[in-house]
Amino acid sequence: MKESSGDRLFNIANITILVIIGIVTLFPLYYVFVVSFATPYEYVEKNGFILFPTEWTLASYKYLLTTSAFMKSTGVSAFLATVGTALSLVVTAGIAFGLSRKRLRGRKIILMLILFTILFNPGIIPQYILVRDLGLINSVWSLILPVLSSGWYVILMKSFFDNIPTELEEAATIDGCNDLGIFFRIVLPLSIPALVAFGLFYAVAYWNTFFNAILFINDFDKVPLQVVLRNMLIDSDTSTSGAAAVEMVSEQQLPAQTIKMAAVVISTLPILLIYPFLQKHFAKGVMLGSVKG
Amino acid sequence: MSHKEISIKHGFKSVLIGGLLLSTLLTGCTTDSSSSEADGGPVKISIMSDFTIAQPPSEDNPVLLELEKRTNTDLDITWVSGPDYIDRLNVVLSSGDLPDLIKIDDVTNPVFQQLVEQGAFWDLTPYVEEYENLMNYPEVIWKNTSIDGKNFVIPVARPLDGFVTPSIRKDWLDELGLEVPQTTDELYEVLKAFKENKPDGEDPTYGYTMRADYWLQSVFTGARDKWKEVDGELVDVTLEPEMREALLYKHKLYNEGLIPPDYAVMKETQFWDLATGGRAGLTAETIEATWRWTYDQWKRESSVDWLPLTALSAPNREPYAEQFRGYIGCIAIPKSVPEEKMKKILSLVDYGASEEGGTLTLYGIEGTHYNEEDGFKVATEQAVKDSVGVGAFGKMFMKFDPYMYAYAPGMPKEKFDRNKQIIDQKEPISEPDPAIGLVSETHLKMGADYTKKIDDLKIQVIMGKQPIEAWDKYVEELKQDATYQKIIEEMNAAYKAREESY
Repeated sequence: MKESSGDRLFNIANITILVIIGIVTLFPLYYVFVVSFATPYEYVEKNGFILFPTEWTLASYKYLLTTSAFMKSTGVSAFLATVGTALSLVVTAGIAFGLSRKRLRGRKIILMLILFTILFNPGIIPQYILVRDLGLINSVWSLILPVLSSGWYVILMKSFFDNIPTELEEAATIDGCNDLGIFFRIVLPLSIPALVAFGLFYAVAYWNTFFNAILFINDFDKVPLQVVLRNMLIDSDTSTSGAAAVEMVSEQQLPAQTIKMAAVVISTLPILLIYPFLQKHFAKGVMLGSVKG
Repeated sequence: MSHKEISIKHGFKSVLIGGLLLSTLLTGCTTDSSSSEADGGPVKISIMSDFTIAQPPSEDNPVLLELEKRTNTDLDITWVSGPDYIDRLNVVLSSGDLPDLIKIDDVTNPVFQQLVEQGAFWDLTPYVEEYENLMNYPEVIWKNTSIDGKNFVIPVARPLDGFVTPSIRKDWLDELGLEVPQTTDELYEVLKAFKENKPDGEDPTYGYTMRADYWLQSVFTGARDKWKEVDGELVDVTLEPEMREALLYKHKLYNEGLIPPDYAVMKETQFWDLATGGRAGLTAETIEATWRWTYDQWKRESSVDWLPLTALSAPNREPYAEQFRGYIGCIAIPKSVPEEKMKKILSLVDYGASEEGGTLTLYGIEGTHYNEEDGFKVATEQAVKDSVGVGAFGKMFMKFDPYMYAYAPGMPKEKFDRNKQIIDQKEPISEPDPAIGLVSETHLKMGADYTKKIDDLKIQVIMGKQPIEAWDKYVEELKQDATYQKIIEEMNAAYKAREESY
């Protein structure tokens, strides 16, 4: 089939628009990346408009890697993203699998309760009191346990498990497998795409833990990366909010812009790197269970 | 569809909290004071405070250890980063889980006010008088932080003068053969000359960055923020003709391109990029912070000279200079702390306000963190590493020093002397804000909406999106608005009550 001139025009327009959108999306990333390798002086000299630094330097990265707060908090965030995600997945999948089996008594009520947590949020203070009375204040677990499992994901996963035929389960039971065995040896391997997708959601959420850390963590060397970052990057707008806002920032001592950019690069890198590998499972995992083939 | 963190709610519902407060206060655990005090060991004190630098002092920070040694205490400090402090503070206050010494953003904090009413904090009035260093704080600061004529808090003192000050590129003025502006009309001419001549050759060059532009309005209204005292009454300057003048003046600056067209949405760093990139000749900050922000620029080009202005006067008015409220938050001690320990905490805070203690918390240890050079404390690299300075310990302890805002690290002596002189000139004329520390119930409930509306309309008028008549009309509406008038009445009542009780 030959392309008509109309087709060609359409393609050219399409490609042009997509390329432009691509550039617009990628440029901020590129800019952050480049500025993180520039010298602060050049940044001041060019009013922050640097497309390509005249002098590449690793000074910003060196500075960051020697600040204890930055390194420690990266460790905390990595711990949250790995251990937290693993726990969250096991718990979420466990609940979802149980709920997807028709022989569980009180299924409906449990589902209602889970739905209830999605609709109604107790608010900050009850949450704080709960964490305090559990003795979790200033412990890294205060950032994991309260958010261990999300009602949304339980329900999504349940609908995914609903599609696993009961016949499989029966066959396994005949071969002498108990419920736990079925869960770990049959169900989980079958649901790798879903696990990967939800795992990524959880991991990103854990990596971005911020506000709960502000509330629950006392020692600054136990805070996750986002808290340290915010401390470095805070950039308020002082023009319109009058005296009070100015007061807030008057004693702020911010690192140079290049250091901020380096911090952004380091903190977004892990997520950026993981993403392409999980991409292929992604579309599959989220959609599964939504369409019955 | 992200997995749910608790969402930040701005503006706490005091109704909801009120109920919780009492219940948690009764059940809230208190930190038990250890028995080591009895045998003369160090007293354990738990503290919660904010900080505004990259990272707070660690447990083994030399300044902290030195402070503990000299005061015979064992300090357990929870540092919360500045911008988020208020969230944490409100949660901690509401949960009743209070440390022995807690930093409060301001006495007007509604949750704190409720707790004081319920008797959850020590009334320090009878005690503080014995601490001479604390008594060195200016009377006005104590007065402004009082509740019902009593001192439930100790203010964390700051200088009254040298806070937000417009600074101008003196080298540009010299290059163009202009005088330092004294009036708003002269200022306008200067800004125009900056824009047209582009002394640093940047295109476009603006006059004023518009950072913290509230001072420009103050020059016209004579009020630091919203309230001005006239014959013993508080007047809301929003409704006065002076505010209209200020808006017209800013509109003129906007129209002629003397300020950046998108100033209303600009962020902190953007203002400074303009100023240090040679694209603007006027900006505003505390004298100390202006120096820190422009330090790199000066290092590169030593002819650059940002001169803080002493005062400015609007047509037919007195020269205006801002007087800061003189404190940057306050510290309070909960009732759960026994009296003996409370006195110990007071003496710790008092030590922080003394010459010796103030030097330690602000500059660190001599030889390690600073060296004396011709009467000047010059900070070393180590000082930055050890988080010494106003951004950490200075949030709790402060020796009152009227010239604190005149100095920042790296400043040559002649500049420091010049800044001191400017502060001395400001001191007799600077205008205090009479409404500091006053609370209006109605304002807490409804004030934010009005503030937002007023601010939005101001920006629209300045940008010419709305004619000045729209402002006039709105002012008329506010004059008729029962709720708005109630705020004015309540503020006046609070003002009079304080004048009588203190």
